[in-house]
Amino acid sequence: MKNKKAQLPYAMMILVFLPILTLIVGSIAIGSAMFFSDEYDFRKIDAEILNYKVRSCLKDNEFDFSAQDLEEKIYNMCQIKKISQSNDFFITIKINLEQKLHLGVESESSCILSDKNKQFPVCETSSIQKNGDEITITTGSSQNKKEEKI
Amino acid sequence: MNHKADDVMMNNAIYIILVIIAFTLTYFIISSHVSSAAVWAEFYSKELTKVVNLAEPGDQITLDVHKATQIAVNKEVPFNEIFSIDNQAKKICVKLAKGRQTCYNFFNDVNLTITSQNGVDFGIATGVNTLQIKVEKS
Repeated sequence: MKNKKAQLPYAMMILVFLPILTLIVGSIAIGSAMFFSDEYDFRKIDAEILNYKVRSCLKDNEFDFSAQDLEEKIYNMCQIKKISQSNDFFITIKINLEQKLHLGVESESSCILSDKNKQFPVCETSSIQKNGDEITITTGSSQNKKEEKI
Repeated sequence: MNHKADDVMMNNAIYIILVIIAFTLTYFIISSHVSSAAVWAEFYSKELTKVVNLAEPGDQITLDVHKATQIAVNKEVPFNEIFSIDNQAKKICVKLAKGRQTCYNFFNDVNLTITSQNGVDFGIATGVNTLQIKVEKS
């Protein structure tokens, strides 16, 4: 006669096995959904490219930092779109630590919060020496993707 | 006949089948996320913006957009609607699903023109579909 009683604990193991398997698959599903639904952060790259553009432009061109039309000249010569009213980007230029130009709504002070909130800008700072002056360029980007319904 | 051995085999077979089902399910869950239109639309809009921001007037940009065209075919999006550029707002939009597009702004003050016929160039010889963008002074 077959010993059915002895097989019962072995069959009962499926009751333990199934929840564990469900937990593993469920965790992977939730994990991958969280990973892929989260936007990949591009603010740092934006800030770096903007900084590079401004830095190269300041190196290659001569600017009068006390001129009234400095903002307009920076836009034209550095080939940057007008960002004065933009929430997405900002540029700050300092000569020997004295601020000479600020473009954009955001400011350097909000950079520190970029890790906590994606609405705050990620910043990039660099300096160049020109005509005996130290020019510090800080750029930031708080741009996130925009989903549009069409 | 060895009934005991048969029973052990049967029990193990059930467990193995369950594990295979679970792993297949996991594979499909992950691959559905990896090939999702939203993920790729975001990728293309951001990478295109990066290239455009570094471009100079006179440049001709050629990008491999093969994956985008594959998704567009599956989602029934016409090729000429996948990539769109708004030079006024300095915005690049990528549409890989019907009814929605993902946009990203660029700060380089240039005018962009998509020169590919039908939206993308079919790489019949290379097997890779590309997008051609002409960069001009704004």
